Amino acid sequence: MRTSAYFGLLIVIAILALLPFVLPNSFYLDLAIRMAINAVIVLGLNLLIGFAGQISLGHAGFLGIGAYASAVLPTHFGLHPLLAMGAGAALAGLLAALVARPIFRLKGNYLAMATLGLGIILNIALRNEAAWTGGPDGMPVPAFGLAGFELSSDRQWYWVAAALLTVSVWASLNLIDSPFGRALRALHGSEVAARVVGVDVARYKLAIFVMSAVFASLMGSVTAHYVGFVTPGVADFFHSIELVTMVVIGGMASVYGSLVGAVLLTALPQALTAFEGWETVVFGAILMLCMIFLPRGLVPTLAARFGRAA
Amino acid sequence: MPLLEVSGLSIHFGGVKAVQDVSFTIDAGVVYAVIGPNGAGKTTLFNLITGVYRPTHGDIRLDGETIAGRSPEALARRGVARTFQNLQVCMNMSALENVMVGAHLRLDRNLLKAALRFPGLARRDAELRDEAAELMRFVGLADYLSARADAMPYGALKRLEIARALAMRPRLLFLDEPAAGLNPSETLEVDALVRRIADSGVTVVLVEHDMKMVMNLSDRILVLDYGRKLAEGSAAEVRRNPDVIAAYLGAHA
Repeated sequence: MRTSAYFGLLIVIAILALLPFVLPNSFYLDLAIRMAINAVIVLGLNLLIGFAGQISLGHAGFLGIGAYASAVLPTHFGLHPLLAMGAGAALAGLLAALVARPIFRLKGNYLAMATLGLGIILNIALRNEAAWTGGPDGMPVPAFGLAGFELSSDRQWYWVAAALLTVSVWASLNLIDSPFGRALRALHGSEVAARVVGVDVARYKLAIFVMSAVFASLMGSVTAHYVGFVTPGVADFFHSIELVTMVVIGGMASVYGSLVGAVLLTALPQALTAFEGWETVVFGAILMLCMIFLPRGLVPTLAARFGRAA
Repeated sequence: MPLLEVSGLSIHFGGVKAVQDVSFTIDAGVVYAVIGPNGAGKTTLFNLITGVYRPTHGDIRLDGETIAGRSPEALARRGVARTFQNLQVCMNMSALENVMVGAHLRLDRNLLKAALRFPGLARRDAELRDEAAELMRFVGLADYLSARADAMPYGALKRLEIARALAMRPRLLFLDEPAAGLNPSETLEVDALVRRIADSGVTVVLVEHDMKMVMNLSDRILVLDYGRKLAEGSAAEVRRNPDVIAAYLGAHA
């Protein structure tokens, strides 16, 4: 089972390596880059939701922190983009820890409410602090450069996104099959069982929540540099819901499900443009049908049907 | 010095006194059974000693050190393991992984090393996989080495919990009704298993309704009734005790 999991990684690498040579034009290359970036975010979120059984409804808030750190800090303070990215990630991690620490001492799923509130607060702050953030209109983000080399073409961005995705899949596979990962899955399966074998449940929940927030912030920075512009929409509540939907459609607690969920839901709005004005309705209907017929998500359901563990 | 010393232990849930002023000691190396009618407070007593509940009054000492009110994870570090009457198996994991979780405290739990698959960590995990498989064979689950936990029958899951507890390498093992819901031949197997565990040097505390198994295995027996200690002694002493006979048969002695 473990070896077959890593075999999937080879397939991902092969697809990523071939893709730029078969994509017909830059529109598809752009779509592929956004899919890869979303996939990394969803991987981090799935570790939290699918594996550890905790939910975040404000994850776009952490994306927003990273995106705006990369926009504001270099523009107003002349900070190097890499440092700005690190500062954003540190802030996201700190905020996650501050919010979640008291919550994980309680029983029950209060994290959903707290993260929902946090996401909304961050979104409002980004809209209102117009002097720093450009308000609802957003602001431009300087290009990302390192040691005299500047990331500019979509081709370069594609390889960066592909590399990030490959490393993330590998690290996620490693993590879930390690003592740390087993403790996370165990506390999801039975909290009291995890505690009596010595798992400090509150600490593990906190660790994975902070990690997924840092992940989201870093990818928020990457997105901001790639697009070259940020708006408060990145930290929007609906964006948070979209990310959770990617996790659920692809399959909770499934690494490859995260990829499938991110790819499908990034592509779907593009594919639905033919339904002029009714895209959102069709989008909603597809999600409903998915939940009715594939309640465990695409990848776990299909894997079970073909008799293999995902 | 006894391994475990419980004195004046009580817990109240609102007006319900589930355990009242219970005292007893357990010496290292014995098989100690807790029996009593349904609702007598046996599982509550387990939950108190293993840190799931916090006692209202009284003291619990392990090796002379007070452990009353300590968290389950703190007790795990001191070598206290347990199984559950209502199964607590992680159905989102494989059978083998459930056993591996038992070794949690003996492993390197670093997140970064895990994500980067440090060679030392991966090697230790491979060893652990063999160790867990060995434990599964020890409890009689050789047929389920590659099974998912959610695909296993009830009797096998009961033994899986025992294997997970053993992976902790405990000094003191609490088994909450290990034979409940099992058929007679499975019960005999569990009986033999508990004997093997005790012979390996683990002190076993057992809640069980199967009297044949209790009388056969236990060095000492504690009888609870309505949260109070009714009697304590060897199997022969408990069997002759008129209060115990009254509680079990409902007669007014």
